[in-house]
Amino acid sequence: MQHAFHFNVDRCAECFACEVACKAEHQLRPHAQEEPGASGPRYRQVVALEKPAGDDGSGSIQYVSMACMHCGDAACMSVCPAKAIYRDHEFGAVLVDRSKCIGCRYCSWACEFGAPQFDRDGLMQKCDMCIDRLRAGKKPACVETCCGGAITLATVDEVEGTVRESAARRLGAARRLL
Amino acid sequence: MAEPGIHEPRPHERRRTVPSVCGGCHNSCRINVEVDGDQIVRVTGVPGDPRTGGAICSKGQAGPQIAHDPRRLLYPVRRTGERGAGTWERVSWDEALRELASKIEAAKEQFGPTSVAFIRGQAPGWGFTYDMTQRLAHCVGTEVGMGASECFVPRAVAEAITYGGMPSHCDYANADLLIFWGKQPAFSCAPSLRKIYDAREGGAKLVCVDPLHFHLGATADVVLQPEPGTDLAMMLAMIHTIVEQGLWDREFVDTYTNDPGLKRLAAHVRGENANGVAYTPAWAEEITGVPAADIEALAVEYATTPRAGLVPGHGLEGRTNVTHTTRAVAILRAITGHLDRKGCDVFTPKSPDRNPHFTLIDHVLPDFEPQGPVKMFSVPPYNPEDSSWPLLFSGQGLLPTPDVLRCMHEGKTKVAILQGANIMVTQPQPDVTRTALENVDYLCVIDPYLCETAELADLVLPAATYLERTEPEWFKSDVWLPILTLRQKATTVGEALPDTQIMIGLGRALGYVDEFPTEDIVYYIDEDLKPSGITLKQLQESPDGIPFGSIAYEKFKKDGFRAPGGKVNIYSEVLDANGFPPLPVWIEPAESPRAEPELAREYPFVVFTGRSGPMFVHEQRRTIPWLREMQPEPYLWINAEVAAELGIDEGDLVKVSSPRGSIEIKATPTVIVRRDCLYVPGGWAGANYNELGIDEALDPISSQANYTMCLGRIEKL
Repeated sequence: MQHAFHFNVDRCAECFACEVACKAEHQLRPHAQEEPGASGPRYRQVVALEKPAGDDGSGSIQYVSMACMHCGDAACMSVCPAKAIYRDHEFGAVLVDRSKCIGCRYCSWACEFGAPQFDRDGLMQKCDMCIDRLRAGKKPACVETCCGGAITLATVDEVEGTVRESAARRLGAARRLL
Repeated sequence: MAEPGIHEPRPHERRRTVPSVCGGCHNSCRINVEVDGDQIVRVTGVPGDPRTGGAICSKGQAGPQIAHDPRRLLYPVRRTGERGAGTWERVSWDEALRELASKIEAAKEQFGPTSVAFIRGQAPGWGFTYDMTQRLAHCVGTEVGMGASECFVPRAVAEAITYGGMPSHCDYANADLLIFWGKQPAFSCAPSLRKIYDAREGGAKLVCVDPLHFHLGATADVVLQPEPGTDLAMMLAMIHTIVEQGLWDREFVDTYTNDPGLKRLAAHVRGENANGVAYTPAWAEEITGVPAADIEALAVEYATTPRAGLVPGHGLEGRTNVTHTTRAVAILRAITGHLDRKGCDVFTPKSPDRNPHFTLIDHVLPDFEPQGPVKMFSVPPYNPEDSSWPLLFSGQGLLPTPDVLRCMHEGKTKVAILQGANIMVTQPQPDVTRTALENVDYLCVIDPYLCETAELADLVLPAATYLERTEPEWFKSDVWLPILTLRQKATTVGEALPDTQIMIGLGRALGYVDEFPTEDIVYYIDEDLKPSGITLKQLQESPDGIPFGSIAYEKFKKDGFRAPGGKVNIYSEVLDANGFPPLPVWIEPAESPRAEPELAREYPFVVFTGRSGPMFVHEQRRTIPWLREMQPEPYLWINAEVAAELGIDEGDLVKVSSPRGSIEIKATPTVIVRRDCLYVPGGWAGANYNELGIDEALDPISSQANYTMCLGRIEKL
């Protein structure tokens, strides 16, 4: 069953817990021995988006925690000349077989979300939906840790349902306030 | 030096999970620490925990890198060259403690016990570990110096004299309106965010009052951005609105406060005050820059929403009006009846009952008679002889930082022991701090790192991080539940020792064998907790912690309030008796554009500071790669339009100056800061706001320095 991350922008306060959860789960660089300020692959990244001030003078900011979208029609998968990228059939995760990866980076050009990451070995790595944790019946590290409860993982149908439900709830809350 | 009493893993326990309590900040969230041999491999939240729901913040999860940071100091060192030259030799713990003890004894003999100073920062924690430092200091015959002037103690005191404590348990689950004022949960209590957003999805309205429109403010329903340091004016205007529109809770005010009918408060806000002005929303708009209509609307909404929480934070600190600001928060809660009720700010017991003799107060106060067990913020009221601030006693018997520094400057302090207090980075005007430290004959720094302050020391002792310590923990910064939890040692790193163990070792080296009869920490924990009936053994057997109280609403109906007269002191009898204004009056923060109009022509911006990001705590964690990666270098936030007008682009190096100093820093134009302000995040040694900040202006009531805002200017380099 195709699973997907759902990110609820209204529940993110940019605390960065998800980024470190992902780093810790996958033991990603920079490691403790490295110089502070060093950078490593970021499977998940919180980005701040600013909307410039309009005529009323006030701009705004929003935070988005992004990782691989595990697209239903994954561009990275179709461009990969080495056929290193494949789909897990249990959860629909888009995964990379690093023994086949040739480090050509076509996937990073094809991906619109910046999901493919490259470390010193030059081979592609990225969010794997925490497939090992899923197989063990656990939630992905980012989901379990998210302080605001903004990130969830569910089947595509469930995610759609969640979006509709929360829209309905907000409408209800707005009516109560009127 | 071994640590008896602490469980050492047996070989078959090579891979194990240690249930513990985080000490990465003040919030003391429960954590599970996964250990492989002597390596901490993972720190995770505890699913189902009533405070966190299993969440854990970025700092908490960086635990493995915090414990095993190769930049840590692993053994005691003594300086070999001139002070500050950076040349060290390794010494044994025994030799280090013998030397320190002999310096303490010599100073005590020649200059008296108060020539010895124990100075505490945040890293070792505020609960049991603070009691241990006090125990040793009192043996010596001196007092612990602590950051009352730069932390939340002034707020604790202002709330204590108003209604007997801090209602630090906001009932998020039942609130219909939540006002976060100078408080960003992402920084100080990120796991609370789930409760906050749950409340929001349940229909609660979210309001952020913060000079910066960020973090929680990004999705809040209302964001108000007062000029830094002017929150008090906004609050006074809210009180004015509530009084003028008759929106106050008559029953609560008449029954439970000392100003029935609000006769005194009403006259005060209408103009019978030291400022001689009516605190109207229009008056406040002039000062804060927040439209009068918005101030009035917030006042009406707060007063007319029965279930509403007002959660103040560190953002209200660091200016000379902090006590009156906090009193205004307390009065807003009281006159609207939002105290200790469902969906409001609720009082909970802050610590278990502790042994009043444990900190050995009788060593400094021979006629000390305990009035019962000690609790957090309910300690024997006495003031150390060097304290210039008579109301700080409820901060558990301490010498505030300005007095600590004054004693150093005056040459009174001969030996100073600093515990987890990197004051060369955290105090305003580092050069002034340096002069003070250089004036001390012998300086010992206890810290996990050879930090900037340690560089000036004679002796540096390696402190364990919170992942290497066993101690009961009751202190929290949010959702203060009355549950005692246990921080448990998960590993040992080098020769680093817990601060508590160092106090014991030093006490024994000083010959205080009656007071420190054993090196076994179990003895001290059980002694301190004796009146509560809780023992270390019980805590070790209770991974969920042990409750020492329960959550209840409207306790005042039975018990009244623990303030003079048993009522909420809208009119503060304690302030009155000590010669301070009994009702909050408007005080300009030092060096505001209105306080210093001449200076403001030359320095047209308000330059302010605060937390640097959710991944850091004060000046700590800059060496942790996982955390530093998300904020590799210091930055200056400048309003995007103003930056464009000044020709400043993203990443441009700029010089920011105040009348006291200047720093060079990279600029980041942004929409989240007001046009008239510049924001410099705190805690960066290389581009330190404290070079700009004010060290001399102090709140006469609480000793708080005006260290978070001043006037400044910017130029592109």
